Amino acid sequence: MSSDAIVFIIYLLALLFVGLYFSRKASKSADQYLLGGRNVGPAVTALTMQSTSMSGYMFMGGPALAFQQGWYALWYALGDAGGAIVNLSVLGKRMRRMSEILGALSPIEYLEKRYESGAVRIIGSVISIIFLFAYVFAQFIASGKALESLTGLPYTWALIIGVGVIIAYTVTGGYLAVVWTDFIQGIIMVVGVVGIAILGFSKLGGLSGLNERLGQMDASYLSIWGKDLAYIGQWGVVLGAVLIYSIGYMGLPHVVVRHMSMKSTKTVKSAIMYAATWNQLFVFAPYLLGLMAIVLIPNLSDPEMVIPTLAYEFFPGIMAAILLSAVMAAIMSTSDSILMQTGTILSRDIYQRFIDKNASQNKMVLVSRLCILAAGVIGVIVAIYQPPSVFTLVIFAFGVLGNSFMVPYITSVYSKKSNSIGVLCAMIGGGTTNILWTSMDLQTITAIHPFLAGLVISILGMVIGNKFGSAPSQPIQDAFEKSKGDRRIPRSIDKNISRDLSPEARNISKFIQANQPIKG
Amino acid sequence: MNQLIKANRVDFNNEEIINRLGKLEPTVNFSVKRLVYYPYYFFEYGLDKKSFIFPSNGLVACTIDLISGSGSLIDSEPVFEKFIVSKMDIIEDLVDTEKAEKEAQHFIFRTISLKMKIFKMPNINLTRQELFYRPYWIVQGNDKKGTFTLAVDGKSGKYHSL
Amino acid sequence: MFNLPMETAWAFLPWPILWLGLALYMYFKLKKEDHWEDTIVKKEKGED
Repeated sequence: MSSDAIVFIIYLLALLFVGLYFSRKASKSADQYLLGGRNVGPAVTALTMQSTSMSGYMFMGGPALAFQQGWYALWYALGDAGGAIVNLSVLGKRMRRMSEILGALSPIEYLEKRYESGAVRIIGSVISIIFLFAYVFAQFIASGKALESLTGLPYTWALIIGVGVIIAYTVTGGYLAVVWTDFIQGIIMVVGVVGIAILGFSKLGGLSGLNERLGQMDASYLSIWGKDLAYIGQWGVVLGAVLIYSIGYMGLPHVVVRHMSMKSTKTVKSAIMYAATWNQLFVFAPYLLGLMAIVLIPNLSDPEMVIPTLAYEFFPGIMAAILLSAVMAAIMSTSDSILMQTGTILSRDIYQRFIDKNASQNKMVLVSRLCILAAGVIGVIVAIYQPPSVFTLVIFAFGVLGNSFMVPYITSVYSKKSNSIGVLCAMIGGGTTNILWTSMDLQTITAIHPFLAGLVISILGMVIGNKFGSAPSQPIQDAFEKSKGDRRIPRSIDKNISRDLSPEARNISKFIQANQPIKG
Repeated sequence: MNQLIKANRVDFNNEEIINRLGKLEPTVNFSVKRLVYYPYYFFEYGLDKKSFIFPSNGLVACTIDLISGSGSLIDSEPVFEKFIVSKMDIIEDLVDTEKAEKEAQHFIFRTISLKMKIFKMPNINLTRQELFYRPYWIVQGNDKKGTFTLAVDGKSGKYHSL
Repeated sequence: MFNLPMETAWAFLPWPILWLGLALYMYFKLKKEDHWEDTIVKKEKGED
């Protein structure tokens, strides 16, 4: 075993220890319950959010695109740097109110209840399961590549070991994934990537120096239209590239679910500031590393290996190994939350809802586990025989999910008349368009990005489909009005209402009316 | 008719509630109408001692709303005191103990699987269960536009419109 | 700027500032809505 592999194992053990230490500590005080009083500050919340969303894509896909296309790749980074803020600003409060009124627990159940249609739930579940798995496949491939450079094993073996570790970790219990571990990983990754960037910039004479060298090699690296001006004038492609990560987050079930569980705006507001600042530091860095690699390691055979290669170039072996271990651990923690999410959708939204209504807790756990295992096996086979690039796969999975669900989620709280037919058209139309556009490579013919095409069709589907469906029932229309805020009440009072009390408030209201009228 | 119940103590008295709401919106005239008691069931579970991540006193707990039957997690061990209150102010529960306990177990499992990201469910065993009531102030607000009613949680001070 | 063509500089460089601006706006918007929670937390800590 190479010394780097030993570093990796030690790193994982250290994370395990830290996770154990903090969760034991948290559960020691007698009046604190295990799952309840886990109050972590806004900085930890923000970084934890970051390290779950910083997936293999950031370390493999992003830099690879920059390495191949030059500054054009930054279009994707621009959207990504603001995606979380956009998401929170648009959906945040209204969606939280709506899901409380509807009493929905999962993002798919939310759609079913809002649009009053079982078909929405089935189709929504199927789309999200398939493409969330695709998203995880991209992480699998990334883990294979990270392990390949860490251990020096051939790709196939690295991949099998990587996926094996991820699956074992998810199925037996993701103990490493407690917040504090995510926090530490977040720091190592940010410090590592920014560290490489600083060393790189000092070598190249800053951003100006880097651009000068790039310009000397090929002036088109510096343009906004890609290498050799491949995308010149194609605003449809550029717009799609910006939109996919800036607004696409609103269509990702595992991201949207956060709005539903968000209790207080208290930590959220500071978390936004931290996350926004981190994003400006971090999202651009991997792309800039890709640009540096054009100058520093022009002969790199696999573009997705930019960061591993640069890490070994600039850091002593052991530091590079720690950084790559952090990357690997990040991939693991991203994959396991998505696998968990898909497992939950499968067992709750499909198995329990349609196949076995009285399934016991243990049976549902078993169903989830088997599905995850199956996904792992399929993932390995696909990744060995026909490995797509991490970038392509993530853009594809992310795009289809965004195209299918973004319009339904937004209209659920912004359009009172939107109904189940409209949603079905939007989901199926948007998702299918993206799939066709990507698989038939219609982008080269039409100069329109698959995400943009899917978005347009999805909006059209919603508008046209709505004409054919019947208007939502009165309770849903009332819920919609309520989610905008209570009009009878002064704004200052309404703003501070604790939404988690809404079931109680409903019942108290009934009690008072039945019991005796309040005398003024 | 009066009844002896276990309930949370009222931490925010009526003057304090009026005072605080008044600070939030000075143009509204607030008045406390009454105090009502809302039924919950409290369940506390111990996690399997063999599980290596938790020390032996690992506990989780939740409350079940005895009218809607929905669960919520709680942070710290609640303190109940005995009070004698008028039956007129007690909201009658609609969910029986058996159903509440079933829901509590489901709720705990669901939360564990979501929060802890684990698939191997630890075994849980009931360590404490108790029926209790939570006090809510019914507050009326009057302003130019008319009147509205709020329910204010007497324990936490959180409120919701009615 | 930074040896970038004007077009590229204008297309990419302002974004981080725009996003931070939006984040600041959201921060203050949410901050305005937190009065009540503030007074409750203070009471729990016994400062009030």
